[in-house]
Amino acid sequence: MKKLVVKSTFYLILILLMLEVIVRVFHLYNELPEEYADENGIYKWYPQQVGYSVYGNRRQVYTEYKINSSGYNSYREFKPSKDKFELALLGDSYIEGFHQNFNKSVGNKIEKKIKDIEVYEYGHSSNDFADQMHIIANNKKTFDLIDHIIIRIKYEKDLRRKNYSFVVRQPFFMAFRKSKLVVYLLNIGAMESVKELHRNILSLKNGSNDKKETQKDTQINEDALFLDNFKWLTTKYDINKDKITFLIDSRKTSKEFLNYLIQENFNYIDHAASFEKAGKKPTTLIFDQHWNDYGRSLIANDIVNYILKNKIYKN
Amino acid sequence: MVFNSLEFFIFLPIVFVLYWFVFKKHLKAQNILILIASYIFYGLWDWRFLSLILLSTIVDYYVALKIDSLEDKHKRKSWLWVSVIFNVGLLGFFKYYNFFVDSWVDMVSLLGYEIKSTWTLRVILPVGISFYTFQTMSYSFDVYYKKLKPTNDFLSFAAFVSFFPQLVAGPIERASNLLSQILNKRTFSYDQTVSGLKLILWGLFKKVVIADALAPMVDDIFTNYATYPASTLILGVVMFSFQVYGDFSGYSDIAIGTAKLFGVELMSNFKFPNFSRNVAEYWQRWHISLSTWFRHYVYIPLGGSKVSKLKSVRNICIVFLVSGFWHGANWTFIFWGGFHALAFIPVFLMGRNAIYKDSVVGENTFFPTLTEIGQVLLTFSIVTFSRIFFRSESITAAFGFINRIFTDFSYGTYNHPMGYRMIDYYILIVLFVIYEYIIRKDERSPFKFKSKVVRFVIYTLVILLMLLFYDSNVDRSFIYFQF
Repeated sequence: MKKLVVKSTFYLILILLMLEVIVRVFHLYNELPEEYADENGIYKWYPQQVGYSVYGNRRQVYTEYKINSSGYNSYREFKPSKDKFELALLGDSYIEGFHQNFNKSVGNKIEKKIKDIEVYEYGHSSNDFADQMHIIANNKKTFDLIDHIIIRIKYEKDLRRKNYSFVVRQPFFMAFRKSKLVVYLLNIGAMESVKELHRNILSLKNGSNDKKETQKDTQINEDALFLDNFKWLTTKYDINKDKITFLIDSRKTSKEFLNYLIQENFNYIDHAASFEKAGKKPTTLIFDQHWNDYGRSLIANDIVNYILKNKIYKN
Repeated sequence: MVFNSLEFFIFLPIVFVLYWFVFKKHLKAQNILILIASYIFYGLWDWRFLSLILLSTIVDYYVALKIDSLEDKHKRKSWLWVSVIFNVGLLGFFKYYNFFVDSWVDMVSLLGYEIKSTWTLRVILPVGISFYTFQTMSYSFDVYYKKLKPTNDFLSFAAFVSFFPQLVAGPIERASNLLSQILNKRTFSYDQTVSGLKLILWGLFKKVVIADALAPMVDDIFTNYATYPASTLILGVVMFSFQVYGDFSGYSDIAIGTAKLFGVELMSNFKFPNFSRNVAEYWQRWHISLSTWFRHYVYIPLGGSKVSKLKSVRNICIVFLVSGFWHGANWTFIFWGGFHALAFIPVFLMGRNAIYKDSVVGENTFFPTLTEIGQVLLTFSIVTFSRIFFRSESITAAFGFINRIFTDFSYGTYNHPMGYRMIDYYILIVLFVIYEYIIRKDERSPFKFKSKVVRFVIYTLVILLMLLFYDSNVDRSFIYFQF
């Protein structure tokens, strides 16, 4: 028995080391830049980091990112001024764009279609509508100089909070992320059951509160909750309806919410039609729902058409 | 609980440690531990169905004791019928009741009568019922044929029936092999344990890399067969051939490997069936425990091949049709069984059904001869063709699938439903076939290489491939659980 334990431990360690080496040599792991929260509690990436994002078990997506001095993934610096036309795009990982080369982003595609426009992409994974409002409010000087703002709202996810509050984001298995093998395993979903077990243990530890909360959540009409949160946040931050446009997908948004936007004269771009027109041609990546290059082109087109049609930018 | 789950990889070491460290000196305690572990293992699916296993255990335990205590042949037979009726009745109710009702209604409507059936029931098929009922029945048969003395140790018998490594999908063990091991003291063996771990690794590889990786494509092609060209349909059924093999033989390897960890040797269930040179050899290499069961308890009692040719042919037909029906309550399985009977009979009539019994392709040389390659390809094609029936949802779909291949032959490239590169999968299948050919002489030693370095490289590669082809979105249950 002793021999079994010693030998299998030895083999296990050796195999793990070998896998770690292979994952590093073939760069199968996703390289995320280092994150921090600024003095206003806004999550950003440490400036001037460059690296490669890798997605898929067999490195099917391998793209370069570049963090600018403002802490966002963009090929350009954010330096708004009165004599230029600037457009800000706010959103979560879809706008952040680690799934694409930093120079093939939605912003970049817009800039290629409209001369003399600068697009600033304020995208950061996990940010929701409360975060976007908080970013605009805490960077007032910058956003006052920016000519127009487009906020992407992922309806089913972004309107769950009524108020902004700083949330400590601790990636799962932080302590082990130095190992590229662990990062790779997390990326391909091989640790999902470990994560689930971890969640279950935590909820057991915290009693049945989480469960009760979840049950309560499901009882509440989510659409009403989302609309209520949206009303609250837009009133609280007193948003400028002429300057802000929302980017939404009407296929995944409630009718009540859309009606409210129309009724209250909020401007929005609905990209559902162009995605539906795409038919069978994929608009998202293979592994998740993030836009692929074609999907981003469609989004860029929709934004450009909107800006030109509504004379937000005049040539 | 399934073998390829985190729960199992927590459960297994716990049972292993208790088995060898805490209860090492007490055989009875070890058997009780196996019994409890097996009931937990099964109960995590649906604890209600534990009652069926328990009931089947009790019935066959007492039936065997009763048969053994009687001398009168008729009375012995009557008690044997109790076991058969009970177990087949269980199967009949849970697995075939709705099928018979639906078939009856269809038949009557063909005769021009209309019946509004309200007789079908909402019955869930208990996992593994076809396997453990056959295993308990084999015990009563063996006692009836005086090949085995019944045991008085109920707990050990219950552990034999529910032995968790092979409870839900076999190998279907005969009591003479498994029960005798459970009744006797097991000693820890380093070699046996290591061999078990290697089999578990190889089984997981076949499941994760071969079966699960091909599953999305097979599902897509069989679901949308009407929209695909014939070349894609052929690709789909070839892939299914590898999928079902990877899935079921992978499961069997994990089962055999797990049993080894507890000092128990289960029978081999697969011996590289893809390298069979005729259909008879295929059945000596595919799902061996089921073929053995049917040979011992159906084919031989019917007279086997020791009767006239005509009767032997009848016996072959019965065995294949029943075997097909055992797989599921659907006409597709009966056609599948019938197709195999038709493929087997010519081999039998030519007297070639046992010529490859003790040899493998390329027995004395590394490379197979051209004749062997031809034989293997032909057998693989026949078996793969039969799988159209096995995989199709209905008999109409199966014939629709075949019809498209033969009447509308056209070629078109196939794209993975998720957009992955197809070439990865083609390379994977080719490498898998080559590797299996290299290890074809010993199904119990998938990593039998002298050099430690080679072995280490292969272990690493196997695990790496499991990571490269792992898909968290694929349904990870085993195909044969539905049977």
